[in-house]
Amino acid sequence: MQTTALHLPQALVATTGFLDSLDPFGHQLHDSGVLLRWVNIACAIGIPVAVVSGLAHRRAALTGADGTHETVFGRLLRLVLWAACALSLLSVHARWGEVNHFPSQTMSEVLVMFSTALLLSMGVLQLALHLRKAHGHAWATVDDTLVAAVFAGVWATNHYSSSLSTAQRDLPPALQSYWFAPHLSCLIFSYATLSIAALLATVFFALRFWINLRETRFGGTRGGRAVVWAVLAATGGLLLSIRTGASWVPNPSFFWALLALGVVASWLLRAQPAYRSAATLVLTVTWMAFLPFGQFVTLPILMIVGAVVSGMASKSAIPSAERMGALEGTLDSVSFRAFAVGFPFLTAGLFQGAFWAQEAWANYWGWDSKENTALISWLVYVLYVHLRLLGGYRGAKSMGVLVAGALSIFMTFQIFGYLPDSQKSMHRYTDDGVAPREGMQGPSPEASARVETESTSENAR
Amino acid sequence: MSKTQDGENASTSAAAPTGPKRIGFGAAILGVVGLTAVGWIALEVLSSHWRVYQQLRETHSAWDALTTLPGATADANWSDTRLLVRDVIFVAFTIFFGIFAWLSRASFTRFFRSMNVGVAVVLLATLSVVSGVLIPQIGPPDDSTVRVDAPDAPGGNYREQFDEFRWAVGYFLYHLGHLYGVGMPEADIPPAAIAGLDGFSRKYGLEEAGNRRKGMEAAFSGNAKTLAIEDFTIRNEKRLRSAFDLVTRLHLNRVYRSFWFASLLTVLAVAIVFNTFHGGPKRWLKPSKFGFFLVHVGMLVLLTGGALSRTFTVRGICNLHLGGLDRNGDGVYDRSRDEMPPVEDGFYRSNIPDAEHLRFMPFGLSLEAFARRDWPALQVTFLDEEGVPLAFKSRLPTYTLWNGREIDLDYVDPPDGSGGDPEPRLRLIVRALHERATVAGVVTRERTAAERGDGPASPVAELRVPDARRIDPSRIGEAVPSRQEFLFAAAPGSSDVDCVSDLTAKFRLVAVREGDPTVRFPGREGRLGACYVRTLVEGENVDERIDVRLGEVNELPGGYRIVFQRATKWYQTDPRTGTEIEIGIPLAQQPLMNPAVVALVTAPDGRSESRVLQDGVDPMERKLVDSYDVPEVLLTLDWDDWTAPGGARYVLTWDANDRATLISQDGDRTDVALGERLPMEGMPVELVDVFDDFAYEADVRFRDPIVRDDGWNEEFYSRDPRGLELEIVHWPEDARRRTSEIVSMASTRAGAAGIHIDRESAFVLEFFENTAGFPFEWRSVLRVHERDASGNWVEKDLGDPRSREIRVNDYFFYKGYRMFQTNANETMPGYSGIGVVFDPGIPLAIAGMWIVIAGAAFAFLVRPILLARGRGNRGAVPTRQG
Repeated sequence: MQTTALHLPQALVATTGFLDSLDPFGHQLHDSGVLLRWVNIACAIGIPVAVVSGLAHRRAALTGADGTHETVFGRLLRLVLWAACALSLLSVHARWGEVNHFPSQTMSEVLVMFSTALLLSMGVLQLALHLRKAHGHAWATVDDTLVAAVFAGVWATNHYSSSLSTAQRDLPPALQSYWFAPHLSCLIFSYATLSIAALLATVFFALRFWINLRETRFGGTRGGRAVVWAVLAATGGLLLSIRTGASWVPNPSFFWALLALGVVASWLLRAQPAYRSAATLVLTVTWMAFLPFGQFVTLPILMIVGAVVSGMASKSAIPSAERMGALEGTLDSVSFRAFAVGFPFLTAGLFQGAFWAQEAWANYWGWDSKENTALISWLVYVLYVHLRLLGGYRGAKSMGVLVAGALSIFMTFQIFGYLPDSQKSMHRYTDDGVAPREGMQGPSPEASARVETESTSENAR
Repeated sequence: MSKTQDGENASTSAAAPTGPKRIGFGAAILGVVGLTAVGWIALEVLSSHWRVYQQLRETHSAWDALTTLPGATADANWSDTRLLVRDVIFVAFTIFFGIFAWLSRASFTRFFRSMNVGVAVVLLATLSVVSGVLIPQIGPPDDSTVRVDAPDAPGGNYREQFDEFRWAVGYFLYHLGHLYGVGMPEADIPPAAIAGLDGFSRKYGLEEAGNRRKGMEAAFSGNAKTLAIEDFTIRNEKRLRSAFDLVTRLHLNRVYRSFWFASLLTVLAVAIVFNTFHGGPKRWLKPSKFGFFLVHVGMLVLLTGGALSRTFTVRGICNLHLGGLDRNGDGVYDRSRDEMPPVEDGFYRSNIPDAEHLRFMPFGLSLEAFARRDWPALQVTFLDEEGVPLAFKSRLPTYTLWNGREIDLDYVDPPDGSGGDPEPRLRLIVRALHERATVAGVVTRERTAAERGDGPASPVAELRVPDARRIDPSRIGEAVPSRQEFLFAAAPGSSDVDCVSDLTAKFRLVAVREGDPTVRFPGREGRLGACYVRTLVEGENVDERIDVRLGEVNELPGGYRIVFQRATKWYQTDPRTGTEIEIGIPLAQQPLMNPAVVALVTAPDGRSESRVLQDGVDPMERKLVDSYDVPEVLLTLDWDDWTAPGGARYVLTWDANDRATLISQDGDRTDVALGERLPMEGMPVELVDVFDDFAYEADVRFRDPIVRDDGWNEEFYSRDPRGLELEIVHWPEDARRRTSEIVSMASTRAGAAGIHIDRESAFVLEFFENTAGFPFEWRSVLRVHERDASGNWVEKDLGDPRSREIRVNDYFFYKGYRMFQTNANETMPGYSGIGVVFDPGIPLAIAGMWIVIAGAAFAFLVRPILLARGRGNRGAVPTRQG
């Protein structure tokens, strides 16, 4: 096992790589790639603006200032958001020209569509949620936090997508349909909107976690909180190391062991109120770190909210139980609204796929595993609607279902290719080097990876 | 699901109990599972009778089939007493259950309208779909009859299905156990490959090189991972096997075709019915309810359509051939035909090649036209100082072309030495693509000294040889079509020679301009060419080049061993079975068509594999590696017909005065005048001209597009090559040095119209139609035939070809049958596989989906706006903070 120090240079290189994603000049990139870096720059500008704007609103809310007046930073933030959105759309447009079709065939193209959709749906949700105009400073803070999270998510997604192959690929015959663009756009827009809804819920869970933590015997002490912070930092460092290719990471089963520990602990201790929070704590930390996108989303949210709660505590401004209850109710309504924007698009995208399949294969539903995973996400949200509107699920309970929905979307979108039944799916277009099947028994396309060394070029001599 | 409190009032009030005795969640799950089980048994029982009915329907009308059903059932099913008893019990149970349900209808209503039951049924449906995603399903998914056979059933599919299961589940579990890639084998890209990448990025740009590198990483780590997963599945074979047997017994690997799933969806539909239609139209049309009402109605319509599809769908492939008369008599299929059509020409249920599964359409089909159109593509090869390509062909990127596409290439550092970004020396701009072009001929000439510059001369003999591809065996006696052939003289000192071989293997010919021509005759017979070998030894690639000689044992590093066992100059396979068709004459007498050798590769651990190597086929590029038993050894054959066994060898040479001499291997020298046939036995070869430094241009002409008012695209079926007008810009980013020219090319080898050589900038452009991957599109034009009153086949008049054309994504509909483009075979250009589907559920299912979309949009997008307007308050988020 090697020491961390040896891997520090690697981590540094990875960080420089991240800064590289802000450099729009040179590198012989295609126009779409250059525009994407401008989007990253807009996000990098937007994050501090959102933080400053959020802090200003928070101060105003705490001093009890009334009204809906926009601050300069709020206007600037909206400007940056729409500018980033426009740049991202321009990048998609440029990519369209570079590949000569609607750019949603390879994973890098689809991820750029997703980050664009994130920006677009954040803009749309700002209008739909009326957080800024109607609800004063406290809610403007929530709005700013969301926008900052979206900026961070877009930047991270773009950084990741540019590590994937950007090679142009021709559309196979089955994808040359007028359904291609609407089917993909609807689904990706709904994914983005529903992700934002889940993001809201995640922020709430993180907040509740830190506040509950302070009420336990363990988390009530400075030392106990230090242990929690150490666990978080260690997990974050571990994930970063893995991302940068370190070889010293522990046994692969580490994550599973951690999760199992959390589940068992929370189950065993559920009846004893004194330990319940401690068990929830372990479970929450492990789960948030364990999530496939933990390093980008859940872990940073957990840490940022933790820092905010510490700040509150130092000013003895920890929200009371009633205020937390009120917050739970309102975050629940807001996330429901975000859901209500995304769900019709999810429905439309799902069934547009069926209309397309009907035209291509006269088979509107082939029980293909991609169709099934998409159906699972849809059914989870159907359950959410019924539980919330009829079952009286409110607050944490219903937001939990929203998070489950986002998880199932993540399955459909990103880890679908690993699922057992997906091996012979006809939807494996985006995977690098996988020949799409699309019901054709024609010749398989060329491999995307042609591996020959220079020495074989002697063949030509 | 009772809608007592949705919408606006839901957001203000908390949960309220739905009735006096609330049905608990556990009870709801139990109830739904129980009802599903009852439905499952009912469907199992009914299906045995349904099968009998379907058989009757093949020959009877619906009514006749129904009336004769009891008798037929008695014959088919009730001869087994157990089945009779089962049916009697089932009928009795149905009657009692019906009476019970009627008497306690209030309880049933309360049950189905309970929230928990609604949630339970949706939850169970979700879990069923989840199980189908986590457990690999056996295919085809739309065939209800497919099963996993017993492990010892002769000719059964058990092993095949288990292997698929093992791989899929192993793949999943392996990744679960290696989250974030922890502990996975690392990708080691050989340093040689990376070194090559640097030069590659200079020529083709950083982005292209970056993508190449990502591809290499994926390929190398992918190979290592594949081996690790194989290892994992083998270690866990026993456990995987018992898991497979278990899911097979529980029908969990055919979830969506199982009766329990159908039964569960039926319960779901019943629950929707109970919760949607109470309250009457007044309640349904309320703006706050209308969207939800619509969604549920849509789901019901959709489920009804799905039930119809599941019950009645027939799906198969109709294999049609252009001019189908040769293969099938009249090219149409009907059950009353006396002879059974050949196996691949029938219309099957579920693709099972078994006469019992044959199903005939009420009409006949034949193929009027079929074409495959490929993407126009360009390949750019850069040459070194000696005019030799810089890289192996499989390394070259292929650019798909469209109007206006710009490609920047050949990067150099800026001349001012500023260390800025490299600038491209070359920009290719597609000015126009033409669907059809012709090559009127080739203009050949000597190159001028100015054109040559410092580069080497390329001496060429221009020949006229019979064109094997255009020879029609049915027209013996007519003039044999011929083509120009340019025979490049062998470069002094190079072992690489350009060789013309006789179609009947009587002679072989090379050209030599400089040096002693007779040194070209090989001293020893039997070298079939070179083989490029890459062996993976302890994580490092070792590359070498060995001579191919039959029977010799070649020891490779790492203890691997290759023996070339057999060779053929005409390797061909049966397109249907994939087995080799052997030509059956000695190698030396075989015509040079598609040379291949069979190599026996042996690994040190005893694994061995007999591998067919076709000339110039790169195993990585063609993805052949996946099927190798010894994937650590990669072989590429470079056949050399000059040194292999074959016809008599001749060398053609000429002097500065264009006096040509033909030298045979025996040493005979014959002078040949230009325009004369070369004195060799075999196909006639005319010496047209000789050049000391050859230049040529193809005379490419673009044909006018065929425009028709009705939009019928006749050009798609044209066999003409495509045309390209390409602008070549040198120094595109430097206004002072910028020059540009427009070249016209055609995607054909004729007259080398698809090749443009720029010797000054040392690159070669090749314009071609890319047949390597998926085509741009396949299209077929169908004809429908029916029998007239006297029983003769007549073609139905169904309008112009456009209305009968099918493509992927655009099917043809006739009498309830949908015909769509589904299959094609590169080696059988006249073959088109037509998918045929009879599915009466489609209209209902599609309508249901539209209704659900409309309902969801109304409920979640329109309704809030309407309600907000109604309240005169746009801010609908309740504010609760103090």
